[in-house]
Amino acid sequence: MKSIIQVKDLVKKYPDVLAVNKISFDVYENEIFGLLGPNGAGKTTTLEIMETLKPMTSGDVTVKGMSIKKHSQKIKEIIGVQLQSAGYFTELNLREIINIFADLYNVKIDALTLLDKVQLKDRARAKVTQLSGGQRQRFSIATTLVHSPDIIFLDEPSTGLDPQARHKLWELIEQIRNDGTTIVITTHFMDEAEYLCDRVAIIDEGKILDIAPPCELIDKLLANGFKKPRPKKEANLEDVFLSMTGKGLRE
Amino acid sequence: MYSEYNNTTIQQYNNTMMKNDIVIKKYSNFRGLIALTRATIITSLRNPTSLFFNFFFPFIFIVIFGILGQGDIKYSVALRNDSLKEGILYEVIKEIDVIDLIELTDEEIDDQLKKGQISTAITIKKVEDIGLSQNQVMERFELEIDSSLASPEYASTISTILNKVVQDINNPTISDEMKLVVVDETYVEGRKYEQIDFILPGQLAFALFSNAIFGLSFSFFSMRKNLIIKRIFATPISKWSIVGAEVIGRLIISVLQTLLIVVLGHYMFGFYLAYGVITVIQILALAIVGSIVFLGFGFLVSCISKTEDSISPIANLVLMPQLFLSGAFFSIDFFPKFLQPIANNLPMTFLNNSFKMIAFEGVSFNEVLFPELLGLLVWGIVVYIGVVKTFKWE
Repeated sequence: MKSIIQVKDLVKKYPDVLAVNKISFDVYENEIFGLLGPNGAGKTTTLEIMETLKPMTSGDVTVKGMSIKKHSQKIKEIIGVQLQSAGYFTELNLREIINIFADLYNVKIDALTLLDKVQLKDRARAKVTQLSGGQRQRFSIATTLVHSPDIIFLDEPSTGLDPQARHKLWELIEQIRNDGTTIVITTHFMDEAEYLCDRVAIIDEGKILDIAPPCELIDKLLANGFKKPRPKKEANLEDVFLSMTGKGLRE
Repeated sequence: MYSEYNNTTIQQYNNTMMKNDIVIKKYSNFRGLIALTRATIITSLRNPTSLFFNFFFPFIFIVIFGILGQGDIKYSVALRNDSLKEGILYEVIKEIDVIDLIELTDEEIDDQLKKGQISTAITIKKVEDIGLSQNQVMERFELEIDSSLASPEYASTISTILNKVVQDINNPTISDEMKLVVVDETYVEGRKYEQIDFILPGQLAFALFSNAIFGLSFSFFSMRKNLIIKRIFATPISKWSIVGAEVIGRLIISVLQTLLIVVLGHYMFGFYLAYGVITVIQILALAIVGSIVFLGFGFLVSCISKTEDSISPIANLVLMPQLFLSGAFFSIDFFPKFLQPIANNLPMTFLNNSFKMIAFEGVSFNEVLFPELLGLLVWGIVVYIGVVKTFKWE
């Protein structure tokens, strides 16, 4: 596996708190890499430093061999960033916003083709405020794909979505990976990480507790003699919910 | 088609970057700047509130005052009995379209002035002649104006007209007697002073200030709060382009406002433009200068406001007093004495005065306009120092 991002001894200190405490990890090319952790664990801070949006206190991050300390502008040209709650121009429609992002990235694209990819072609003339939660997240992801980046960063993309919208989003994320893009995602939903991620890093209080593929982490826990209090059934409540309400999108 | 083509070029470009770490295609900020400017303008033109305040609100005033001030209205000015009824000053005042000279007894005049039934009484007196050369003397006159405080708005308008007349007679005759003829001709042609000539510059200054302070502060604040700016930071464009786009976009809207208000004012209500198209161009140049200063107030308001709800009160606190104090409705000469120095030094007053000078006095960008421009410049420096000190991206 070839690594595309290297994080080395990364530290981020705020005046009153040590948000990231000397963490190191690699992200491999074309994988879906998950940063897991409870709220306030340092996931978003780590992600925003990798996205060149926040300065670091010490350590280094290289993206495709370029250090973000020196080449932040060049790095911005090859990454796509989805923020936790980014807004978009309120008076502009989806197609117009995509075209603005195309200009911001100096590329020429067909906005409708891109909107079609995230199943929003029929909403091209809508404004962002008229979209449902799931549509908004898919649109947000579309803006990260405008310049066909090598890596995209997704910060808690499924927060606030219903199960149907979540599954749709997962399909989209897998499809983007299958197109050859590396994906770094943060989440605090373990089922999401288990479903999507090739490898996950579990972060708490600014430190990485472990990095491995989800099934390896589960096996490790079981090998240590862990047992769920109740025997696991073949299906869970979400399966019941989806089988009763269907997988079709509600928006 | 486009997208496929570009995917490959980007891929090639990335590969090159990976191997050599050299960028072969230089990123252009300009294209992004244009896109963001377009976004600013479209956003502003699609927003009903900003559309209303930028274009319709000032226009409503202009229409109302334009209709009120159309031709039919004449200001009665009483000519006192001991006044001269000949000489250049008398002839010129008599020729002014909107002034109707009436003759009453002194008691009637004083009584009606007190009641505000007439707003102005004048007396023309002759004072010592000036000898220009051995054979030529120039007559000199004194104009006494009694204004009624019971009818300040009319009195102010009349006073402005009369002062303008005196100014125009005086100006060119100081050294060259030939110029007196020129002035004469100007009056024979009959330059008309109408209400619109007083109202429009003030409303234009207000519209520009309103666009700058409300438009910019709301848009910049919401771009910050809704993380639009943060999202744009994640693209390769330089962050100053975001501010640049906001400024250029607002200035383009200012130019549109100015053109609309001036052109409609001219064709619908006969707003006087001393040198026609040249005057319009001068007004546009002045509008841009004024707007740059006013945009500073917009940035300042957006940076010192803690919440979106506090923008409007703060912006109104800056804007509304100026609407009344800048001489947009009433001449500053009729304000209480203690208020006059304040009113005379407001940024909107400087712009309002400059518009008036350019539009109906035909003043160009020269020493006459200089004090007003200097006033604007000082405000600009002060406010932009404030912007630099309070500026924040997030």
